[in-house]
Amino acid sequence: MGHPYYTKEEIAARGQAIYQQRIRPQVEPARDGQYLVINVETGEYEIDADEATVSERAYARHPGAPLYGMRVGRAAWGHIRLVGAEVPR
Amino acid sequence: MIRGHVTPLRQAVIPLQLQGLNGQIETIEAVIDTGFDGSLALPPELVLRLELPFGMTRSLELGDGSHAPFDIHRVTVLWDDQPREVAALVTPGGPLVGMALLRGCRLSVAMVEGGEVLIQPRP
Repeated sequence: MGHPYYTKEEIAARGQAIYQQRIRPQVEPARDGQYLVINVETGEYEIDADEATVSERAYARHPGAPLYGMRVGRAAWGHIRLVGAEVPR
Repeated sequence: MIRGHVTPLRQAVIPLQLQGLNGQIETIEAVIDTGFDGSLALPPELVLRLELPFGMTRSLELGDGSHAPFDIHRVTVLWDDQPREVAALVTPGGPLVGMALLRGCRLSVAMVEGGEVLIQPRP
């Protein structure tokens, strides 16, 4: 489950730090709302307005890497409502 | 055309065929969550059983306004008999279908117990 070496919390923390320190000046505000995927080991990233496009590009260019997905100028990639509510089977 | 039904708990569920890493196909029942803007949410045991490869970690906003990181694994869905790779959010509980999977389709629900749920490929 998840990346073999990093927890999702570690990937998110590293990704957010790299974004704040290195990427943010390059992408805000011009690319506000676009989807960003960061390789949290190298600091390289892929960016696109379409989430499927950027995901496919990131998987192809950074196979096996710990990747963090986010949106420029937003706190989250998306929204979900039923998480936390047990969905009966 | 995808057909499902409304459960006694008032959930609109549809059958969905998922393909694992080794080609194995598993049919599951998933609840349609119109507040979920992703494609799929699957429980960890299903992700493990199908050996779905890790994709990335994403932060998502929950219903109470909080944020949390989630693992995304990659899965092939047989959608209207066509294979389609989508992102599956890993989260405990029953499988969920999100609105990204329904893009371009018309969803109709006969909101009575046992009522028909219909997803048509064109709006």
